[in-house]
Amino acid sequence: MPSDDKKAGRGVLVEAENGAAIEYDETGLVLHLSDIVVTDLARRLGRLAPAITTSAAEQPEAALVRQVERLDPAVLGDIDAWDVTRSGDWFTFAARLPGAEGPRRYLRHAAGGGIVAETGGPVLGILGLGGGRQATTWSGAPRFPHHVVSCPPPHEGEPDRPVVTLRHRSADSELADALIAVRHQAYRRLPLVVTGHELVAPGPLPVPDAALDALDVLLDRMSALAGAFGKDARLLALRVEPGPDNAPTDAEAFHRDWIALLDRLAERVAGRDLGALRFLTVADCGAWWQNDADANRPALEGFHRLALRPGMHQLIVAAAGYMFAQDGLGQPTPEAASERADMEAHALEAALARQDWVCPLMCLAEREGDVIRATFKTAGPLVIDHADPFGAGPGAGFALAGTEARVASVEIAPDDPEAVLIRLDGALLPAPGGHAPRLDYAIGGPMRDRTAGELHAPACGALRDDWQAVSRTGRALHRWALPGSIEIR
Amino acid sequence: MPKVPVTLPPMALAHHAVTRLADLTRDANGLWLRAIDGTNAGWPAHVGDITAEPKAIEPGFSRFAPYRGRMALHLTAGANGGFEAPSAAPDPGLWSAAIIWTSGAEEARSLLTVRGGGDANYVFLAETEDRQIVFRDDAERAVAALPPAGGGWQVSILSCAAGRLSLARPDGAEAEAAGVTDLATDGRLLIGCRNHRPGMKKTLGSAIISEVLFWPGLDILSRRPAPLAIALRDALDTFILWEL
Repeated sequence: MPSDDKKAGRGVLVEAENGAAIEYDETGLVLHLSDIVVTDLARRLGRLAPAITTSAAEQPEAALVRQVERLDPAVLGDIDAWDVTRSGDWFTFAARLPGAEGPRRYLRHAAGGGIVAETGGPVLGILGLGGGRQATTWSGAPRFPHHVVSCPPPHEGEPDRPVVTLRHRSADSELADALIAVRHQAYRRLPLVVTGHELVAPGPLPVPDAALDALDVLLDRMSALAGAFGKDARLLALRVEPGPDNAPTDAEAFHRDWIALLDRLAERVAGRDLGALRFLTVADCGAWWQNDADANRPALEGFHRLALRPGMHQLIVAAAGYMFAQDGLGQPTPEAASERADMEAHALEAALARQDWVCPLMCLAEREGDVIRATFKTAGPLVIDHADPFGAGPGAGFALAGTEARVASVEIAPDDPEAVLIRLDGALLPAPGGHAPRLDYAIGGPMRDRTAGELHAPACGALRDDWQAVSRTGRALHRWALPGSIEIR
Repeated sequence: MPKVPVTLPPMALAHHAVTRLADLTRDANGLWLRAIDGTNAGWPAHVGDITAEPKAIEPGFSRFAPYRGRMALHLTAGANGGFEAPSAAPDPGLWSAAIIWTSGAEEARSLLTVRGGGDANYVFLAETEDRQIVFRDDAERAVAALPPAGGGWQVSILSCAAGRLSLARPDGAEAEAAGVTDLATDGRLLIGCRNHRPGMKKTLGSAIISEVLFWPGLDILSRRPAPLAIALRDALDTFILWEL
C-alpha cells in the first residue's frame, strides 16, 4: 500500500511483495488476524473471563446470563468478601472490611490497588496546595478508608493503580472524613472523595509551574477514575494556604500575589467540567513563637485584604487559625487537625447549601472621641469570650500600632451587636515615625511558654460570633474573628 | 526490515482496511478521492473513473501537502481552491458521503457540496465560525448540526435521502433534519466550495481535507440500512481505527 498516511509512530516490521504484512506502533504490533484466529480468541476469552463482554447490547440474553455469574471470592485475596462479580475492569463485591463503613458493597480494580465503596453521585475531590503546617500528616488510615482515597501518579517502577488506599491522614483526608462522618451519622448518601495534596515548599510567591502541573495530573487522574465508574467528577474544594510561610514583604504585595495565584489555579481548573471552583482556607496566624506584631503584620494584614477582596474567586475562610492548638514544633496536634477539619466541613456544607459562612471580619475602625469603634462583617451578633481560651489578654486580641496609646478596655457596642468599642488609656496621637495609627486584631501577642502544653498562636483574640457546634473531639467549636489590621479613621 | 518474497491476499496486509473500503466503494459505484493522489492540475479518484477538476481561479492557492501525518488539500480563506466532480450525484436527493478533514486557526467553512444546475436548492456540509459542523440546505429548510469535536482529524459522515439530512461522527454523535425540497437533477460534487463559478468568498474557509468518499444512490445512515450500507459503514469504521 503506497501511503504517506500513517498514524504517528507506525513503522513496518515485515514487508511482503505487495505491501506491509506486519507493522508496529508504540503500543504493540499491528497485524490483521484472520477470521479463524479472531473466532478462536472470542471463544477462549469467554472461557477465561466469563463476565467480560463488549457486545452486551448485541447479545442481551447472553449478557444477562453472564451478569449473574459469580466469581470465587478468593480472586480478591484473603479478605472477608462474598457475592463477587466482574464488570469491565472492576470486581464488585460485598465485604466486611476494617473502617467505619461496615459491611457493604465495594469495588476493586482487577489489576489490584485500593478498595473503594460503591457510592452514588459524582466522585468528589478535595485537593490541597501548600506546605508547612498544612502538609503535616499522621499515620493511620482515615475513619472511612474506602470512601476517602487518593489517586496519585505511580512512583517510578511501581504499577499504576487507579485508586490508592490512604495509610496516612492529611488535612485533606481529615476534611473528607469529617464530611463523610456527618453524612454517615444522618444516613445520608456517602460520596467517594478523592484527596490529594501538592507540596509547595514554604517561601515567597509565585508558586513554580511544576507544582501546578502536578496538580493538573491529580485532576486528570481524578476525572479518569470518575470516568472509569461512569460518573462525573466534581472538585469540592481546592485548599490553599496563604500565610506567613509566603514571607511577604508587605500586605499589598501579599494580596496581589495571592490573587494572581488564585487566577492561575482557576485557569487550570476551568474547562475541566469539575463544577464551580471553591478555594478553602484557614487564616494562618503563624506558629506559637511568632508573637511580634510588626513581623506578623504583612502576612496577616495581607490575608485580611484577601478575605475582604478575593478577586473573582469564591474563597471560603473556614476559621481563624489561632483556635487550633500546636505542639512544641508548631505543628497542629491531632485533635486540632480534627477540629480544623470539622470547621472546614461546616464551612463547606454551608457553601454547598448556598449559605454564607463568615468568620467575623473587621471592616472599619473609626475614632469617636477617646473610643475607637471597630465595625465587623459578621453572620451573627459578636461575643467577647471572657474565658479567653487562647490567652489573648485583657484586650481580647485588640491592639494599637503607630501610636503611644494602649487599649484600656473592650466591649461590644451597646447600640450595634456587629461593632466593638475599644477604649484607650490616652490620646490617639501618631507615634514619631509618621505612620498613621492602626487598629490590630489578632496580629501579635504575649510570648508563649513552651512548657505550657497545648500552644496557640500569640496572634489571637477572644472575639467570635454566636455560632457554635461540637467537634468530634468533644470540644465546643466557635467561629472566631479573623486577624485584621486597618488604619483608624 | 525483512522482506518476504510472497504476495499476500489483500486482507492479510497491514493496510487491509484501505483495500476493503476501496472494494466496497467500487461495488457502490462510488468515488474515493485521496489527497495522496491529488495535484494542483487535477485530483484523480482512487476509486471511480474520474478526475476532479480544480476550481483554482487564483493560481497557487490550491495545494496538497502533508498535515499531521496525512496528505491533505489545504485551502485558504476567501480563495477558491476547491475541486469539482461533475455528474457525481445523478440524484442529488439520495446519496451518502464521508469526509476526513480538519481546520487550523481559522474555520473550514465549505467542506462538501452536492449541487444541481441553475439556481435550484442544494445541500452542503460546512464548519461555521463558531466551529459547529453543519449539514444543511441552501434554503435553510433543514439544518443538522453537531457541536465542535475538538482538535485533530475529524470524520463527518453524512447522508441525504427522502428530504432528510443525517450527520454523524464515528464517536456516535448524530444530528438529523428533514424538509429539504426543490433539489435539481444531475448533481455535481464540490469539495471545499459551494459554487462551481468563482465568487461567494465568504463561503470559502481554511479547510484541510484528506479523504472524500461519496456513494450515490445509497443511504448509509438509514435506520434500516441496506446490506451494502452496513458493510460500508463497517469498512469505514475499520479504516478510521486502522488508518486515522
